[in-house]
Amino acid sequence: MIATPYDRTASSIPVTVVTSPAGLGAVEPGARVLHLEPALHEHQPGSECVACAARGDVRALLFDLLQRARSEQRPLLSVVVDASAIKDSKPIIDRLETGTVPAFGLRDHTVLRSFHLARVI
Amino acid sequence: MTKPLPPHTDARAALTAAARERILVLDGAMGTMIQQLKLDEAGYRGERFRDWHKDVRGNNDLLVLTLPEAIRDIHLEYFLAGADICETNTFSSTSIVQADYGMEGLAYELNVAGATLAREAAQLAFDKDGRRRFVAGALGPLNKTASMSTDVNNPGHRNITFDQIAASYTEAINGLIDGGADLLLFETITDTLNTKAGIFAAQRIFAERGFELPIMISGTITDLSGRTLSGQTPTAFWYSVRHAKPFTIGLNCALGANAMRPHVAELSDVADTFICAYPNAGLPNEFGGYDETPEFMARQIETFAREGLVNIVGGCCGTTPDHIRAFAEVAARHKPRQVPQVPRQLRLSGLEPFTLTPEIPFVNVGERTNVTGSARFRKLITAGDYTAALEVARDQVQNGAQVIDVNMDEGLIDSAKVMVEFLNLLAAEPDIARVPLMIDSSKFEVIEAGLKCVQGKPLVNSISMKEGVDKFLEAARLVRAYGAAVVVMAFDEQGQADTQQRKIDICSRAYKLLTEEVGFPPEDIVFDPNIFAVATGIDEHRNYGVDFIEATRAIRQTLPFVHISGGVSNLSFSFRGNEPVREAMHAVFLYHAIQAGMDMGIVNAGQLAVYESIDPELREACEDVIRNRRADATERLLDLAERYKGGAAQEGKAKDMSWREKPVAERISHALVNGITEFIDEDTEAARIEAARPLDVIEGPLMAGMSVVGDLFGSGKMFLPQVVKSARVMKQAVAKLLPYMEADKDGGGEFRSAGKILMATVKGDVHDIGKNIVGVVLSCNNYEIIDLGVMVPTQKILDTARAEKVDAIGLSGLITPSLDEMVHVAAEMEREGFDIPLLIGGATTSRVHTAVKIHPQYTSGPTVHVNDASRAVGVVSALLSKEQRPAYVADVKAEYEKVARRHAEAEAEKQRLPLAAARANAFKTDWSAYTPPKPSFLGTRVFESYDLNELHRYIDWTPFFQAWEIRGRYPAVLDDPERGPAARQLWEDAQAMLREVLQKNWFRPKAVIGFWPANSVGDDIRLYTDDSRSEELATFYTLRQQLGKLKDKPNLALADFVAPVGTPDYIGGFVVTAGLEEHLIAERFERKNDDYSAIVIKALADRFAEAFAEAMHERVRKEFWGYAADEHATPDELILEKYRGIRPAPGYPAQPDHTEKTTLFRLLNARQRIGVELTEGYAMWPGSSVSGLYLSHPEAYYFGVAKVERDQVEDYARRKGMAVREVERWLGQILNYTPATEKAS
Repeated sequence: MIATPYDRTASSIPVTVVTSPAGLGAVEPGARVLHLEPALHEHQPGSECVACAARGDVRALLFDLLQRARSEQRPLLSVVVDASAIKDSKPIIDRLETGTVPAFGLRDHTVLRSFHLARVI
Repeated sequence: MTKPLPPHTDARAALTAAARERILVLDGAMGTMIQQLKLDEAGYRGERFRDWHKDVRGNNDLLVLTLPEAIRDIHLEYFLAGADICETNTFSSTSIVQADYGMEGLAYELNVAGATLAREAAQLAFDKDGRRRFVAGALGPLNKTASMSTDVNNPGHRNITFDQIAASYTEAINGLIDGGADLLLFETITDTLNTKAGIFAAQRIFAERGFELPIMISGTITDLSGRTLSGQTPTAFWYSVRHAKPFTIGLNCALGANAMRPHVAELSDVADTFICAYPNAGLPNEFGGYDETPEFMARQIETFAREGLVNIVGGCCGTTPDHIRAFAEVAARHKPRQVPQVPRQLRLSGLEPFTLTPEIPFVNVGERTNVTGSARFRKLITAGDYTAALEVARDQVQNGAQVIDVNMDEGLIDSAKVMVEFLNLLAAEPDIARVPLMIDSSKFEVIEAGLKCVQGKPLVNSISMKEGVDKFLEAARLVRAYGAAVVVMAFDEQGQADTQQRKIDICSRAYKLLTEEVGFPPEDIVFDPNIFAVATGIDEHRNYGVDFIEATRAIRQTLPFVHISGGVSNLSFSFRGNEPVREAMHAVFLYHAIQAGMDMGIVNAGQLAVYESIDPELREACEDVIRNRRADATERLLDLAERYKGGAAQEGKAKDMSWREKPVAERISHALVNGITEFIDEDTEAARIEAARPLDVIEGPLMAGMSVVGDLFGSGKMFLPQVVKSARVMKQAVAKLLPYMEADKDGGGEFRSAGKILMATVKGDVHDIGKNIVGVVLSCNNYEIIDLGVMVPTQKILDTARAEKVDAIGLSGLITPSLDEMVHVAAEMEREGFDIPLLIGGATTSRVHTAVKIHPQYTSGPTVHVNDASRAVGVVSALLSKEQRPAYVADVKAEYEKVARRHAEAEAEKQRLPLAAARANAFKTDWSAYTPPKPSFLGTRVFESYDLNELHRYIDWTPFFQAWEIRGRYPAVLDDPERGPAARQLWEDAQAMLREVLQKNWFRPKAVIGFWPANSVGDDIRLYTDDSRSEELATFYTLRQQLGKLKDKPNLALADFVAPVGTPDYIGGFVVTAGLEEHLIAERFERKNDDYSAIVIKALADRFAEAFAEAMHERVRKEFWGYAADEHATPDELILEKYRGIRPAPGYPAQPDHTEKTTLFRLLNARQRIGVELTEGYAMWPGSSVSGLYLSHPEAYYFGVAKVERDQVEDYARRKGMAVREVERWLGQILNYTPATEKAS
């Protein structure tokens, strides 16, 4: 008898947020690193700007990373978010911890199901 | 008095005629123009809103009331710049958005005014030049969404409903029409469900007013991955709104023209209506402005036009009248896109599209999320456990359901409410929501509640004429207005159709009503002619199977484009509790029903038996019952059924279980040798209780058992698959012991392995079956394996080796560029001061290559070529043993030096021709006497979710056994006196796995093929864009044999088989893949410590890919290229290649240059179309993929280029435009000389 492989184990990918350049040294090899750039514009909370999302919305970027990893069938085991270029990392952490920033698209739900904030360095 | 514009109610005909003639131009941004007015708060308020209680600055739409002349002037400026259509300044004029300013009460007025102003501008422009202009009533996105929650903690929550949205749009649309809009434009769509509510509203209004305006629909792709904010792909989005019969579909706003292009191209391929695209002038800069100039954007827009992707172009944020002027000039230079004919096929969508093509013989509709069909699901739903209920849905999708049926018809719950709650939650689960839904209820109000929750195009199950024609038509009109397809039950006022004739009559009547009175597209109709229980003992029921099957046949023949579905489990109702018999009945029934034309069914996809694999006696009995072949059929099946009660396991020979009586150590040994996992947990536990420490179990009975396995393997009495199964038993036992060992660490010491081996498939390569087998064999000989997987960069190999202090490194690779990568790893090991053994393995590796190329690079440590798993243990143990190592290493070294010397001598002796001489001896044929066949189509074609059952018969099993180091041809190998038993066991396991693969659709094979006009030019094959052969599309470069040959044999290049310029010839290309799923499935097995199954599944995926290539080639010969329409080759003949034409692959002997795949992949757009891509080493990912060219010449045959000389390499590099050094790198293995770079190093 061959076992059926589809017993799904809940797996969520750990995300480490690095808030200063020094912290990047502590990143384990093999993790995917996302570099955030500061937003171009000021926005009201919950409003979306495609230009800023493409640069620094951690959810948009994680979603893109996840989609690429899926389509390429590459494992995505851990992610490091380099937020050292961003003055205030609180909004980033808020976006990764559920509930504090509204979801803007389905991708935000996807991201929060697929990743969790593991630590902040 | 000037002539008035024609009335807005007849715009459709005028627009359609114009759009067929030329590319129309839409206007540019309104916001950007308003910004230039630099208005302050007072400027926005004007006189009328001077005392408004909220700030209104930024409410651009308000200006239609407070600054109307300015808005009209902007419209006029755009019209005069060349716009055919202007959008009203009503982007945010819905009550929902205006509520932000407290102006929801003004929505209707804003829309009337907005349309009136634009129409006045259109009249002014018309007065000026006599050209008719059109006004599009703009309906922008809302700041609330019906298909998503904004609260990530509460994914089922919605801040607005379908009905509220429809009401808000109704008001806006009425205003736009009353103001004189010629069309309606839903734009910048981020949530498809919002737009479906808008379409619903528009159609209601059209029906009331008695005329229709054309609708334009424009979505926005904001994610880099190419989806809308609500998660749909462009095609899925199109299918969701296609019922609006829009005048255009398209995209606007977002990331700029370049980023938009692939998505516009996708829509252009699938949409049988006009395409409209109006991008932003790039992304907003830090001042909120846009930087792309009219000239820059016009060039990008020109690309759209040149490629024939668009019918209407315009600009979104940041574009100005200057941009529109530039676009109009570009538009005038190009022909509009031809609207393609799209075959009438059922097209559904979730987040992703689903098309029921003829290649899909049967659609599995998952039935587990149906409270009437699944007791478990009913319990979960009544208990309110939605989390677990969603898991049920997820499992179904993962098990291959292409559509999932959701039914909440349970007396104790509020079905409509629960339907809404469940669908809303499901919408936030991308793994589930990707497939279309079947909204299933006997109550139409429940169906309607469900339809208001889904953004995709679902199926409704079901409507019927049970309550009369009027109710039926009303329901059908509503289903259509919500954009769904429909299942129609064969049920009328008299009751459910039972006989063949009643089924046919009712379905025919319903078809006529639906297509003629409702305008329902026939391809969106699925008839359910009722499957009833057979073998009930009641005489009238005996013919029910035949009635359904024959009615199905008649309906499919007489009612074009419709589909047939049914609930299969009804059939075997009288055998409840006897699953084996039920499964057999279902399989037999489906076998006939599918042949008759049933193409959809509500089935438990995981539980279908395969017709051929049913016990013949049972199968015959089922045949008798279902086809009503004999009077006593029911009695006979009942008698037989007794034997199957309690599962099929009781049937057949009883297993010899005497070994269970023996002491535990012997039981463990037996389990290991025979690969039985069934009892290993309990035996391990028993041994652990007996032992002093858990480690003793490993070092005692487990290792003893494994050494028996090792001895048997070493003496050739066990074969590789059996050893891998033993390893599976071992792994499970160790996993059982691990927690105890952790706890016992302090008291007992750690288990010491015989050595640590790092294994990796090198960078650029994805193949790992062989590597995994070697890893398993070593691990069951007590070596610790660190497997880094595939595509591992050198540095990672070396870093891990150092950090983990490994005792040896094993490298694997299948494609030829991997050989170079291995040389590189060896050189780096030398440079970084390693001295541990390096093992080389993989299909293209060889003793000669290792000796000549790798061994000299790594002098500090031993390099050994180990190409079979059976040798691996011996080699590794010799290398890691202090005593044996020196002598062994010296032997290997001496041997490799000898091999290298002999190789050099042999090469020197081979006669090779200069390139010119080889060309003079090219293949010759009389081209004037030959007319190359023309393919049935030019360009590319994609095949998705190809039927695995169809591919199955093309599988060549011999390589499957070879992968397991069992040599010999299939099927003879099964009866081989020595290897037969092992081969047979492997065969049975593979068949069991294959059955699961087929039943559960584990693989989703995809293919893309293409044909292009081509001619040879020297050794090149030149491809043209079309049959005029005036524009070159691409070139395939081929290499020529340079071996000095016997006189009568030519020196071949692939180009020789393609006609030279002057004789119109063609070439084809293909990429097929068994699908992306193989790795996921293998990984899941690996996580369960079941390497055996993981390797079996990979080897099967490999076979499916090859089978697919074979099947596709056959269809190409018979059908797509069609030059061998009456070919009748048996599978065996196919394997022996007894047919006309070849399919050589880049990287293989006839064209050893892997880099040629780049051209092939680009032409076929394989990455985007079917998800197969090339790694940096030109391996295909996923690994179970095959690609190549199609050549049709009757004399074409496979050959090997073998070694090439420097003159050809230089010539080839010049033709390809590559550096000689680069060519030498990729052709390293076939160079007949030592390249300069290598000499220098």
